[in-house]
Amino acid sequence: MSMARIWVGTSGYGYHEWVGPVYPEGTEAEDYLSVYEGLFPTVELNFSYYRMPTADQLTHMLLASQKLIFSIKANDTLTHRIDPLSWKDRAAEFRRALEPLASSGRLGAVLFQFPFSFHYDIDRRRYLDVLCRSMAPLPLVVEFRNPQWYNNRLIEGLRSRGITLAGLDLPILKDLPPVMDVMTSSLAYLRFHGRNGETWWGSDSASRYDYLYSEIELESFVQRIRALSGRSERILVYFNNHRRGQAVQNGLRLVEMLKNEELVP
Amino acid sequence: MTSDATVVHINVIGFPSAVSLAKDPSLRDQAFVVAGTGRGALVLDVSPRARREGLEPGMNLLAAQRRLKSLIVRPPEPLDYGKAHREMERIVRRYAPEVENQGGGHLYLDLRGTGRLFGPPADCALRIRDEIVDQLGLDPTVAVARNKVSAKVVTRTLRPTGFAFLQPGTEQEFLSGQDVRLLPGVGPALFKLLYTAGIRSIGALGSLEAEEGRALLGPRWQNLVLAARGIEAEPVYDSSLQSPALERRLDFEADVADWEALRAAAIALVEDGGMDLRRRRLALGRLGMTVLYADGFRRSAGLRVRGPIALDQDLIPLADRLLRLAADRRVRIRSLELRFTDLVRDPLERDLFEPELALRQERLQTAVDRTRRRFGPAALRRATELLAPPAQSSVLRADSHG
Repeated sequence: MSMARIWVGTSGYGYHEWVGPVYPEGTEAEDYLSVYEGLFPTVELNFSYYRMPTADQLTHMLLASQKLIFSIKANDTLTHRIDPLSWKDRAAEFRRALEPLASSGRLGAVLFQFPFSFHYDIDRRRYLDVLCRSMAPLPLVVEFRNPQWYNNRLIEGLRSRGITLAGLDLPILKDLPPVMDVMTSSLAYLRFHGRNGETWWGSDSASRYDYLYSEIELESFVQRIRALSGRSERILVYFNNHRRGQAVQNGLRLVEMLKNEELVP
Repeated sequence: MTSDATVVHINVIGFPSAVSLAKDPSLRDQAFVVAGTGRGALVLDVSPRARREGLEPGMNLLAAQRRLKSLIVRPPEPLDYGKAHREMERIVRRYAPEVENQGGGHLYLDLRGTGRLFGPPADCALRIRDEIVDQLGLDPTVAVARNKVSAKVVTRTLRPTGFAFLQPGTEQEFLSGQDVRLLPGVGPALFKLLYTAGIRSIGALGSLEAEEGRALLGPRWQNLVLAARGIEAEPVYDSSLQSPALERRLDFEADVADWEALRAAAIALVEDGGMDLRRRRLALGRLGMTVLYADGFRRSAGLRVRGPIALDQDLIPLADRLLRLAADRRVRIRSLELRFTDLVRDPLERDLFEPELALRQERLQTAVDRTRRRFGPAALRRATELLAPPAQSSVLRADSHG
């Protein structure tokens, strides 16, 4: 059985609080990326969610790193604050910004993460379809926070379009989506958000993602990755439990475990 | 972290072809089907590649071969299927205190109370899947949820393979968008009815009011509507608590040669065992018969059925066939023995409306059983049974664990 190529990284890298636990004391912000590249082969960019990225910014990141693979989270004007009158312009702007990554061959995937309020209804399904078509042929990944989306029609729809459904790890809480690993394209994409159920609702993102996975929990990720590796060509894995550099600690340990299992070289 | 979502459904989709693949990895990426031989043979299962080529279980084998010239045909290997399933059960029993065995690569587990030993149920389910893949070469679909009905819809959603953990409390929301055909109990005929009524999703079925539900679905509307809302009270039923076999024996007062009398006795025996099966909500996968001849010679025969059966209308023809196989000597017969094995919990997931005849038969059977329980087995007898020869004593009944 052919095995997939696996990349592990974190969601975001530009956290000032990582100076100390991750980056050596005194590391300047412009050097974060090159230091990060010494730790992981891939990163999921999430600044792009808060402000629309530009081609210049992404070109600069390409130049500031050697071989790093970039996945990128779509801007919130395409997922959380969709304006029916202007979203197509925003999509075109986002698409243009990705061009340097796409043409360099270092684009891992483009992630669209939709909030709970993005319900499974006809208008939003149409929106998703048009949005994805406007981004083709980039490798696309969707993540939904509303459980209604995790149905057989969506899975078939994603399969026919070659779009990846992100597999997640989350706290056990009502109203959160299922943890679901199902292959809908040759790319598998996993996002581990931590299991901090106490701070998930009603707190800032730093507290929400304040969690350190245990060995036994990481072992379950190895099992998930192993199962996916026989059915996919590429697997991208990102830890989003970024508080105090815990994502880095967990990510490095996971890589070790994957090496022990001979899943990565 | 604790969760009351502790029910795990493990299902190897396309079990016969999956077992063939595990046995012979060179078949990977090959288009093959599992089918019997002879005229009119039907395709029992198809490999993933054959499915992609448009082949489906239930097709005529010749038609499948015409469609795909290079098609490989593998014979059914029930012994291998049984062995693989038993191995799966062996693996899951190390983790799960309660295992409901539905046969054919299909198990429900309840991991309640195992968290301290094995971690959260979802992590434990992943470990179990990993062991099944590693040790048996089978790649099951695995779902963890708060109840069986939700877990089963999840595995159907994931087809052909995958893993999912359904957050407790989100069952109704998760089910609402699913195709109504994924709900256990909705078969082709009920689907047709629901489709005509404009009900396409499980959510639409779950939103039916009492009056609408009763009018559309009849007396069993409530269970179906509750299931559509992700509500189910039925626990995981541990199969080890049920006897793996039932036995029935009849010793004749005088040795018997008359065929019709023997047949009547076999029917009486199988009816008696069948009633016991149904009372325990079991169904059998195999029926065996042993005939003791007057000269001391014993002959045994056994037949395996394609799907678990429990109704007299299915059991009687089976007993009839066994009698022809086992009682083929021209020697008088002293006793008949039946052995009901490969017992599984009757899933009761048949389509409520399909086929109508089968539903009528089921209702008739329930009425007959009720009457016999109340007034004794002799209160209602088939005319054939009146020919049964006198026995030394009444039917000998036994549950065995052999």
